[in-house]
Amino acid sequence: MVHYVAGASYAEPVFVVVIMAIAASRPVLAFCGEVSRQNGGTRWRWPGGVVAGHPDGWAVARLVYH
Amino acid sequence: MLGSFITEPAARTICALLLGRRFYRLQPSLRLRYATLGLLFVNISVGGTLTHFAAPPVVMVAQRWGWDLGHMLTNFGWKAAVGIGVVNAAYFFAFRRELTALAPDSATDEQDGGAIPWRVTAVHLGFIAWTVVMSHYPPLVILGFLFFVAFTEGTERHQNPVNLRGPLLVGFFLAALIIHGGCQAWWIGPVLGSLTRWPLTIGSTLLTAVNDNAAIAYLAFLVPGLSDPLKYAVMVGAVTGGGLTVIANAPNPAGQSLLNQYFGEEGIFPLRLFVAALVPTVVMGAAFMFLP
Repeated sequence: MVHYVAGASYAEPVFVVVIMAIAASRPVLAFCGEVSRQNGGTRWRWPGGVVAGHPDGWAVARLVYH
Repeated sequence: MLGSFITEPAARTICALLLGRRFYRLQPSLRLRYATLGLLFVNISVGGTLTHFAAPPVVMVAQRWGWDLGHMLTNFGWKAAVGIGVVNAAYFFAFRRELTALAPDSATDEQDGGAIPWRVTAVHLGFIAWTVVMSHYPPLVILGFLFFVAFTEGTERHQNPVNLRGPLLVGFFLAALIIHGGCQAWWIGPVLGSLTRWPLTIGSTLLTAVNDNAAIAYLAFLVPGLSDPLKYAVMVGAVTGGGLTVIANAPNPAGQSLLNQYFGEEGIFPLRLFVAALVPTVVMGAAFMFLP
């Protein structure tokens, strides 16, 4: 059940607060860093950076691992 | 593009933290910092169009316009992927000398404090999945968050303290944007309703820069008799313009609050962000409008 007030859902601010808090937690960040690190060692290193959410993921993977 | 699956705010938070901790701490030039920031904002905004539940403007109209996962993938998603690939490659070649000159630093913040058991990580990913799936049901989102807080207390040695200051400020900012953005309907609605395809795309992009793109999409929904090509045009403008300013896209304030510290005492300067995001915005707009 989605509540819209003048077309806007006020669920969005609540969602953003919670998802930011969880996404910024140490285990999640460590996991994303690890994914990019593992992919950084392969010839397909750029997907690791993309999975980690980095805009220049493959370039930064190259920087970090070389 | 990760934002299409875990939603844009989550992807933005992870991106911004990784960008700051792994890249900005290598002390790139201010020009490169703004370039990557503009790229990040635009990439996240268009990267959420692979699905119908991630990008705020798409969420606003997907059900009403009958846009499902297949529609988003075939009309928006693959074009977004092409545009992101092109603009990222272009930025890499433009800044390759500076990128390669930066001193590599393999020490990462997340390694501090020892290894994290995979079970703890799995539970955290489960909390993200729960929050994303229940994103339209605030009571269930808050319920999940309470369990999350309890879990972090129980596994304290593997956690950093939960810092709610930034998320709460962003939440209040968004709530204010929703309240005041709706008050602009008296002039934005007629403007959107009077434009043809190309002017509508450009106009939607520019309007997005000064108003939340979810509000623009909603106001377009209110325009009677909008044809399918015009619906496409207004959505292209809303998602491509989502990186131009901090208020253009709901997740942007999250990125700004996390990355502000890397831009000196004055923080992120709005005009420089606009200029930095202009090139990716144009490239993405071209990808959406010229690809078949």
